[in-house]
Amino acid sequence: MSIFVTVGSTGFDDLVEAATSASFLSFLEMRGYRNLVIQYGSSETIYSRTTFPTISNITVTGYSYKSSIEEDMKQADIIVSHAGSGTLLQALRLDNKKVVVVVNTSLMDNHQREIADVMESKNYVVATNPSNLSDAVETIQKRSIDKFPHANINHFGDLLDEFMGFL
Amino acid sequence: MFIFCICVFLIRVCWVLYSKLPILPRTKSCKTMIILGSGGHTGEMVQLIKGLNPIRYNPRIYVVSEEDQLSCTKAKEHEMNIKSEFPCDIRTIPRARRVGQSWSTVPWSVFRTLLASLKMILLSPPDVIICNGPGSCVPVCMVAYIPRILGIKPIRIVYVESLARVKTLSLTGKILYFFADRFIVQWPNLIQRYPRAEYKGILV
Repeated sequence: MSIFVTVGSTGFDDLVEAATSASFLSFLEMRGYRNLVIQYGSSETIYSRTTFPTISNITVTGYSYKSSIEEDMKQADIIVSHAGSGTLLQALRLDNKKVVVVVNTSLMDNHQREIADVMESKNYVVATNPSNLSDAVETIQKRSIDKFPHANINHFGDLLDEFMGFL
Repeated sequence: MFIFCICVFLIRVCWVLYSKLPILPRTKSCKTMIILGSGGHTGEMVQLIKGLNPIRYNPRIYVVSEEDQLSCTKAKEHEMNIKSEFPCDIRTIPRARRVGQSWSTVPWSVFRTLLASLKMILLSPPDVIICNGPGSCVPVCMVAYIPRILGIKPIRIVYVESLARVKTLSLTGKILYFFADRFIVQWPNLIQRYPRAEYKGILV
């Protein structure tokens, strides 16, 4: 089994720190995970200072950015995403993926909490903060999650057609 | 005479702000300006414009902030996906405020942004502007009112608030709430607080 962690287009030190901590790695090993991929963005210093200890059963790979993280999402059984709506939507639209949303509590204008909460209340994700990452992964493994609805891309086109006079 | 002109102008501004643009049947294609902004905004915008008929909404002008390579790439990708035969038209405007820029220099950078928006809008006024929240929407949409006030061209503004906004509007949203012809939100709670807003489900 494999798990993919993504912080989006900026950085998220607390999440990278939690995802590379010895306790999280041993938790993953215990639960039978063999691969951990981390897109760490600008949190490179946090990622690179990690000395992956004696937990040799897990392969940890990381990178700062890629033009598309879709392939890594598809490879993973569980996606751990920051609460940015773009990344979150991308993860939720894939089939058979379980998504854990980690809220960046250190942000000033913390509207990320809102989207994480509303998505959790509809049972599309499990929301957490960096310090409870293991618990959230444990929870989502056990829980049956509802499928996020597919986007109807014609809605916006129809609305604009009517407004612009294409009748 | 001067005071009279000012009064006429102010009445005209109020009239334009409060009146609704009529919907007239359209035969020609629609010049469309799409404002892209960093990260999530661009992702949502690309999702929105996937639903547009490329023949009806043509030409398409993408507006990006300086140094926003990611949005440029996304715009080009989208144009490739819809197999557009025209080169991708991307315009760059300076940022009104960079992250960490000191507030004392902000008036100057805002002025530069306004000037660039003014040039862009007046040289090639679009039929419609589609925007969803990056800060650069504000100067572009405000400037777009000038041809409308002067009666040259009624540029329509369609604003779609980000999916990330569940209970409150973004700062850009709060400002453009008064300027946009259609103001669309993606969570139903918001229409109770903002009665002019429309909710059509999740669009991205």
